[in-house]
Amino acid sequence: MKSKKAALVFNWTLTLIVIVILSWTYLQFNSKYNKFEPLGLKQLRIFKTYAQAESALLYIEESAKYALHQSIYDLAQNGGISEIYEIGLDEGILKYDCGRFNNAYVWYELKKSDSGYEKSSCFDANYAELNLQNLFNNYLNQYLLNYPDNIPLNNYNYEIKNNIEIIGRAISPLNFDILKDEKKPVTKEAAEITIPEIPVTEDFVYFTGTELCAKGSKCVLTKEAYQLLAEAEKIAKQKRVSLEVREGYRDIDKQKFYWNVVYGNLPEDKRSEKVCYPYGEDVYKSCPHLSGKAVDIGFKGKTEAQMSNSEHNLRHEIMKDAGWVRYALEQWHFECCGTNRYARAKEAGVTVIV
Amino acid sequence: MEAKDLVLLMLIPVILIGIIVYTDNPNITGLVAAEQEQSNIIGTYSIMPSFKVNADYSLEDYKEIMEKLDNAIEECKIKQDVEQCIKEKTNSYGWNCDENEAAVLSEIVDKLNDCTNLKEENVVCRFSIDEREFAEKREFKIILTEDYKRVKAELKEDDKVLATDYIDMEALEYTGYDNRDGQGLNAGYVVIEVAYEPKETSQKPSIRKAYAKSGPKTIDLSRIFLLYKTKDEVKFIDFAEEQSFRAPLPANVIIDLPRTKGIKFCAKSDKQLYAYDNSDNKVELRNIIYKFAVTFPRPPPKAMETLEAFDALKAENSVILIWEKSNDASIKAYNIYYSKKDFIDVEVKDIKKDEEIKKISAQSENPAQIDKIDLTKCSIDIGSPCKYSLYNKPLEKNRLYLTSEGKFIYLISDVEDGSEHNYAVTAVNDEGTEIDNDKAIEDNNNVLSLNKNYRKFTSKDDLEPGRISGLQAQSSNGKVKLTWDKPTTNIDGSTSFDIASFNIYYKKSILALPDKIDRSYAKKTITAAEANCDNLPDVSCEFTPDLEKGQNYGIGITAADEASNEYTDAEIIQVTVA
Repeated sequence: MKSKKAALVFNWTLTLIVIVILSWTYLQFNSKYNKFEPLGLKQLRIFKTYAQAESALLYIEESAKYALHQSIYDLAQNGGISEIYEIGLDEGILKYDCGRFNNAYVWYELKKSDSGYEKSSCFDANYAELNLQNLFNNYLNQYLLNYPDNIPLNNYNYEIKNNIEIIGRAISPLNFDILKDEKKPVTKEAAEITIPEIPVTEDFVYFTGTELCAKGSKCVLTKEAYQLLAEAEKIAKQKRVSLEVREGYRDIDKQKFYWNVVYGNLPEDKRSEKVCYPYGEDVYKSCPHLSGKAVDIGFKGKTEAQMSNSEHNLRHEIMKDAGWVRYALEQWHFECCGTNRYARAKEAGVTVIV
Repeated sequence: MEAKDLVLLMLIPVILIGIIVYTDNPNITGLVAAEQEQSNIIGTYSIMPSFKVNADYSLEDYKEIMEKLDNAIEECKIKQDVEQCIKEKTNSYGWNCDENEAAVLSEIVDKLNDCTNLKEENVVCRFSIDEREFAEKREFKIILTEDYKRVKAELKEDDKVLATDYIDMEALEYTGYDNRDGQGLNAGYVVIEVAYEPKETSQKPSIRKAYAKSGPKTIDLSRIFLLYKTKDEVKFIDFAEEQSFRAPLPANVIIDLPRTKGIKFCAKSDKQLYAYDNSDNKVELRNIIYKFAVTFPRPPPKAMETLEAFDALKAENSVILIWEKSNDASIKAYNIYYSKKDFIDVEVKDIKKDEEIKKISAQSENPAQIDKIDLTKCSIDIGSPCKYSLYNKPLEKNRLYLTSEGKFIYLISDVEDGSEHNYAVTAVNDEGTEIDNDKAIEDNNNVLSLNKNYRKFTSKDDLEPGRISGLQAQSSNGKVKLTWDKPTTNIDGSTSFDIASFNIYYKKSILALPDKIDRSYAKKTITAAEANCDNLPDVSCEFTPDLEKGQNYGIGITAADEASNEYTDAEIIQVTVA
């Protein structure tokens, strides 16, 4: 009898001890191996990222299709003309020379001359392709801006073939981050990079996707320019606004894109007022955006058309206080750090210069 | 429980503790990351998002359409009515636009743009509404709002937006008269209400209302003089001060719009695409329509058909031209051409270069008003020009008159009496355009036509020279030498250049005779040369007539000009031939 009682006590004690040991063991395993992932989880994330990229590609292709249809339709409605609506400081819209009649662009003006009527042609059918590219690019950009991920704008070199096919060759890649924990928000940080193709030795800062960079824009500046930009953002915050860079460093391909496509239907003298000539040996000196020391900058949440005069002035004040000078013909364009325009402005003692 | 069971049972926790304590294997197989990182981003997946997209369409359409249009223009530019010709040529292509409502907005926008783009400054723009064919009465509102350096125009009917367009105006402002050249007042947004009656009523369309809404304030705007244009801007006109803007020159220059004429084409392709259009706010399958326009200058005012020429009464080298006033509001002046040479077939551009053809430009904005005038009768007071009957005033040279019957009168005073001259009058619009008289252009109606806007006429000198003065007689040796000063003026006070002869009237009388020459006088006519005063500026004349010695005569002398005009009122002196 006595031994039965003792055995019972022993059994229960043993059981309790085992439970405690196993519990302690479990806790130890948990704390040591909490980073353990199921095998293949990272590969799964790659597939997911791949699917995200494919989704973006599909979106781009479908957007391109709709943009093409709309641009063909609208271009015809506009008689083959694609006007440039540029909100410049001292100029309004860059108007089509012959104007419009009854809401249609004028193709021919007949003028009385000594020998009867003389025909003056205002429209060159060969420009229809360029105008289509321009319009198509604008419409495509609008679609891309609506995509949740950051897809670069103005990122294509176009080739148009008759009957009609547009091939858009991407200039910059689309990048998707593979995340360890998708639930954690990703905060992009600026990072230093080098740009080997430009003939100057400078450190650059890549800050695409950060708060300072507008959606769809690729944002790169020299380190010095970036520091001045950060200073400007500090000043802006004190004034309760936020800045966003719409364009910083522009590579040579994009510069040519602007020259040949975006402003390609303007005569060269007018075109060079809007965009720097991208050919020649000194192009990296003469074109400020190619130096990485120029920005096209605005306020977050406001397009140029939406900005009031006081907001234009505020932007100028902020950038001027941070050490930038402004290009007189464009309210959004600022330069620093030794560009030609910056040097001239400093010499003249002004903060706005042509 | 046996001892071996107890031993086995106790081994389990020992084994487990051993695994925990002695194993150290952080490397887990299956990692994909390039490196171990503390950040959440373990890698980047990059792709080049190139694409290829196509549609059933060709840009060659533009070249084909341009070629057709080009051919039509080449064939029509030698025609007089270019617009009609182009319309006929392009009708077969089916390029008509069916956009009646949108055209209402386009018309207003084009005219506002026309005013904004005028080269002239400090002018008032005036325009009316073009007629359109609507089956029933339609009332539209055109709402103008500022849209950053442009003005947006929306056409609404019953609050539904039918069309949208943009005007090249930077801001919406209005002005009164006194500050019209200064800064304008903010107009907020502007509403123009236009009404069209059904075509059967033959009533013209009109601007029913125009007003600006600035905050709580509503300002009525002029419906006739819609805009005032300064160097840099255009402003609407406050209705309360509209009358001031009607003031004639030099207060205001009124420009009638539109200045541009043109044709809009809508070339419909059979190709269709899915596209959005803001006319119906939908994305659907639509035909591609190419919209474009051709503009040409306004035609000149029509050639006149009512030109008449009259001799100016009691005048030298003068002609009166008369023509009817036209209803064409664009006419701002009349060009008068005249010459001895015939220029009826000479193009106007060559007429302007020909120094043998004289030119006068008479502004028609502010002519002198005449109630009534009878150009066949006039009465003359010595020393003053002849006063025309009913008007009771002389006509001034180089001044345009307008009678109450709607006729223009112009006096030209440098033609040669007795020689046939050719006269032409053309109307000129505010762009300086007049008929071209190019008879090489087929069916050209803008030409000079005899007895319509071209006249041949010979004026006549019917103006008598004035009285001679200083008539004296010196009698000796049975001869009487008469001396006198020839008149330097005609009876209307104008300078006399054509004294050709003198008539010496004489009759025997011992009594003093009145200053009136009648048939009882004998007459001897001598030339100015015989009187030794035919050369200017020689005015002293003399002559010794054959008179009977010892007789008393009453003698009077009158001057006559080259056309034998003679003013017979003369001073009579008594002479005794001693």
